[in-house]
Amino acid sequence: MVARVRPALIAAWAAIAFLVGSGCGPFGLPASAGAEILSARVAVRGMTCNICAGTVERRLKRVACIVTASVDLEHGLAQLSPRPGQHFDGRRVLKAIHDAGFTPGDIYVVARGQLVTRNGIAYLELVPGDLVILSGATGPPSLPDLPGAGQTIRVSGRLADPSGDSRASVGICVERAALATAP
Amino acid sequence: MSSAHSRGLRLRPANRAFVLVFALAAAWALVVPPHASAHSDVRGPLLPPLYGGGLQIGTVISSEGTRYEDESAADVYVAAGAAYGLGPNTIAGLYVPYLSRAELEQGAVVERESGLVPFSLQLQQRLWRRDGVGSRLEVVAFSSVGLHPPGSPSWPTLRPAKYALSGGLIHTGLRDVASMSWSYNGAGYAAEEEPTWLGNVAALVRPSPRLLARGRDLFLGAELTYQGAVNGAYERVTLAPVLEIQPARLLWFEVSWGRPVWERAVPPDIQGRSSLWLRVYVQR
Repeated sequence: MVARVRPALIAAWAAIAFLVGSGCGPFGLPASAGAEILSARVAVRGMTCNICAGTVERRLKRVACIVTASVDLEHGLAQLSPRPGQHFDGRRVLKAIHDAGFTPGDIYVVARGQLVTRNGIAYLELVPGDLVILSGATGPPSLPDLPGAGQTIRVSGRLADPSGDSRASVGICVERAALATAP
Repeated sequence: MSSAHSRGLRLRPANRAFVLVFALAAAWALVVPPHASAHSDVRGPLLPPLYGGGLQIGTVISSEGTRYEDESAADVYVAAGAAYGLGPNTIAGLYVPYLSRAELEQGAVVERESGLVPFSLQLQQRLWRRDGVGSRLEVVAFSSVGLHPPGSPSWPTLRPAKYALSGGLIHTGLRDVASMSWSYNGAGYAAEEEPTWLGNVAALVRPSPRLLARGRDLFLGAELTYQGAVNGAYERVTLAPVLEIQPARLLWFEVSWGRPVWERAVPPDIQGRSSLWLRVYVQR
């Protein structure tokens, strides 16, 4: 069963994370063996040669939450494999690209976790107690469009740019949500 | 007859510092990791775009020939250079040249001398940039200070032998590269050179971007260089075809051959001077 978030709901809602517990800084998504960020992709602008791609790759591989990084020079993209068991720190990814002398773009992630709802808002529980809000660009995803609470789902979408309160600044602007085949 | 490049320079035999720099360059070339691959598409005095920890090191062999009546001179520069990206917008460079000069009369060598000439410390700051997918436009400021080498009569003074200030606009893309720069080259302590303006326009194309996927690269292009005395005493323009090739992941070769296409009131010692450049470098 695949549920799609309505496009009309994906536009104006500021992404807010509701992070319970510790260890999850701004723009950082926790991951664990059971629920995790499966992959990430980030746009890198300004690369025009192999040395550019090599510089970006080296910088990204130094980020603690990244295992491997592979750069597609032609399309200006870096494909990232997050390190299992560590929270995915999007801010560090963006900083690594900036420090290499290039302009970072949006980060897109694929995450898997359990869907929970509180006060009518849908969250992705990546590890027990750590919740990441599922949002759209214009508002919260419509719950009837998402799989039921308590289910393990896989979502893909853009990491929302954090702002302000570090404890309420992380979200995934959902593009797709689907029931995961594995628990 | 003397070259304007070396007027005021006190030539001395090569010393250990020069040998050490060359040895370090060679050693680095041997140990650099195999993923290094790059190009040096920026022409004129500007440094290559090595921001954020990028490193380039290599050697330049430059031959300049001048002929005046029955006299001629051949200058051969062998230089070691390095550039390093200090940060996301800042690059530092070092350029250590060694000059061997032969002066000839009626084809016979009448004088030969060689030694270190002023070395340069360089700094380039990016002031503005606009990045796109596979493209970049940037404005940079460049400064250079030439210091007297060890063993020269002016050593160990820290008063610069020469200095330069430049501004440049650089476009880089997956298919083409273009740059333009304008520089003021000042004369420093114990220098006999006149201050000059230096303008450079360069355009190169990458005829086969698909080579990038195999870790190879190729550029073809040309650069036009204007040189003129600040006091207006003379002017000259040279045109140089340029070939840059990356035959292996580590290695780059660059060849250019500049010949004058226009000159006005140029002193005899640089009149009609042509230059052949061969640059070999590694970059990561």
